[in-house]
Amino acid sequence: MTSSSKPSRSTRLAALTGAALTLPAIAQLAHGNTPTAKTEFGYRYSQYQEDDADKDKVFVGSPERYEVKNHQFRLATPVGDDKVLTIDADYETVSGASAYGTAAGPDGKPMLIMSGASIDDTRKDLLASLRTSREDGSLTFALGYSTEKDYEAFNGAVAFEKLSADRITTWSGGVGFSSDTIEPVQTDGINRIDSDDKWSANGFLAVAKVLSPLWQVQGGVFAALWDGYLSDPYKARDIRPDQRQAFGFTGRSRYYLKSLQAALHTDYRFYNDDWGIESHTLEFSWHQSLGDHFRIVPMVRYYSQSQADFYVETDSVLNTGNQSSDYRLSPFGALSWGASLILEQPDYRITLRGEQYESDGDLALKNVDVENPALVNYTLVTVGFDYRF
Amino acid sequence: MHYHRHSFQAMGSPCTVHLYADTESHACAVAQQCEAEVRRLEQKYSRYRDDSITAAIHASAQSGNPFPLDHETAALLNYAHTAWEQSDGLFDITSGILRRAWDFRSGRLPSQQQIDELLPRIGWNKLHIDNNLLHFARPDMEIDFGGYVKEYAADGAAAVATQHGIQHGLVELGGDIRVIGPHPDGRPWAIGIRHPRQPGAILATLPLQQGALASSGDYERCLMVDGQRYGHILNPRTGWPVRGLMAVSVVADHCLLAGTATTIALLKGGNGIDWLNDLELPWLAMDQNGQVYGTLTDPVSSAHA
Repeated sequence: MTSSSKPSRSTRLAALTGAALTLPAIAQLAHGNTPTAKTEFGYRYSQYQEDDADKDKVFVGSPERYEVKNHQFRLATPVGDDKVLTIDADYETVSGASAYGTAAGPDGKPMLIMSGASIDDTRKDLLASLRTSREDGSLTFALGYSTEKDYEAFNGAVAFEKLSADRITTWSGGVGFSSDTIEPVQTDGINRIDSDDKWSANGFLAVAKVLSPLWQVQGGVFAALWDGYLSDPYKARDIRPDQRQAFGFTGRSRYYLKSLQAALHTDYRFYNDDWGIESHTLEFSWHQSLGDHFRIVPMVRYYSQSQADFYVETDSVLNTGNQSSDYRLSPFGALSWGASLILEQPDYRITLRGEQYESDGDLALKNVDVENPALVNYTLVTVGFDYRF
Repeated sequence: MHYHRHSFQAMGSPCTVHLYADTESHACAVAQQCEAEVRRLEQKYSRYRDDSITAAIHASAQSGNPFPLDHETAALLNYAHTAWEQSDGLFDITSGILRRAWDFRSGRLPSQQQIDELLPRIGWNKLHIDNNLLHFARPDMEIDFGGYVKEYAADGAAAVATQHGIQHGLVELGGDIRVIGPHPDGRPWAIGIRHPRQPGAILATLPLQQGALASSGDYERCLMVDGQRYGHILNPRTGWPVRGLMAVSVVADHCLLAGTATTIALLKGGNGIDWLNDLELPWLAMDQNGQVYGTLTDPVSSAHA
């Protein structure tokens, strides 16, 4: 054997692992596709708190913004030999105020008009999914229902996963559909629509490859389509096109650093739609094992988007056609950072997570002349508990 | 949780299944199923039984007909092919035929002529699989699953236990170990690696929470002739025992992988340590001088050159 013709170190193990994984007994034990033999129950409580709006940028109303409290419940139970039924239930309360619109301030810069009354809403969400696992992949069907005081949505999805015979390549894909109805809460003196609806469809296709026992990558494409009433009825003047089409691609890398007992996850996403918004998301997270039971995961995420074609800095009744001053359609960049601490035990898992998000015109990739005054900063804290029995 | 220990003799080795379950009867029933899986594989791939697949394959080779493979056997042969490729031809399941010359109980060395007669009947590349049909280039060739089926059986028995809801336990088949899961309180299993030259002595103790450990060495079966030790790991090209590492242990996700890694490390002779380093799996080895190497060594016993 000559050393020059020697395959690289990781390919030897990858080749043996790939061949071993085609053996029935080993495939069954391999991660990922084994249906859970036990029932799992999970609960997560998240508190999302937006910082108050900058007082200098509020023209009318209170600077107080949204606070969201979210309770998530999950029950996953095996059905027969190869199926897992998962029920996800969400209960969320939203309180606080959102921007009603923007107007030009004394210096000509846009200022916020906050919605007078504080919003108090509850969202309830139920999703049932059935996953059938086979030796070489899985198929999942999901159906969901979501309701709020002024909103109702039905959705469904089908997704698949298919492993190659050598277990080196995994294809995954899926399609989803949602039908939504909005019946805005009416306020005296403001002329809102009575009821309207929209539907949306989306799809994705991805391929993941094990490059070595220490490195996995995935690339994917996605597309989405929305049709119907896409405006915000709670804003002073918000008229958006009744269709939106988006496409994009994703890239993902998982690299394990054995000597450090850690993994570096890198995720990138490119998004583009026919409203003129283009965005980039880049996230790094470091999964560090601390002994046998603890894991700490610090992360940092960068986001930048361009504005929608019909985005306006200040609302104006003089404008005709499409217009919106919604900050989510404005040009901006955002940076978030946080960490999770996970305690893993054979029968249960405890997760603590904190994230701080800050958005700003100056963080955008391209220069932003006039920043939207409603750009949010928020803090998100999550406590989770999962139990297997 | 109830701890249950079940011992039996299979594949020419003492076997033990350690399990924790909610009830004693459940643990006992699952342990029986684990044993049944080991016995199924022993029966299917034994070279000593007339009703095994191995016997049927040899009969087929002699008659000149291709042999139709079931899924599991095809996957085992595919694995053997990969191991043959990755070991540059050293891991060769057609080399079992050398046993006809090497009788480790006889105390006598074979003659070179005996070995030379067997060498043309060895060579994985003289076999090919086409559309799940196994073809032999010569009718007098044989294949032997014995070099890796025990390790595969350890993985198989662990899979059976997992299927029956067991999360904590360990399967040990003649020194090859597959962990089902740690002790219920999360503690790893403490596994002793035996010293190749001092019976009863422990070379290292290893905490194993998941995965598998396989060990092999020239201590298992050997011939002593004129003070020279001839181990049972035979080079398929020369037909003679390989002289290299005295003992090797490897940790991997699956016992099959760990076992193949140790066997190839021994087959590599003087290059065994390079092979182990290349694999990037945790390992421990002792060379002929008693020097201990590897990433599993504790500071006291490590004696790196």
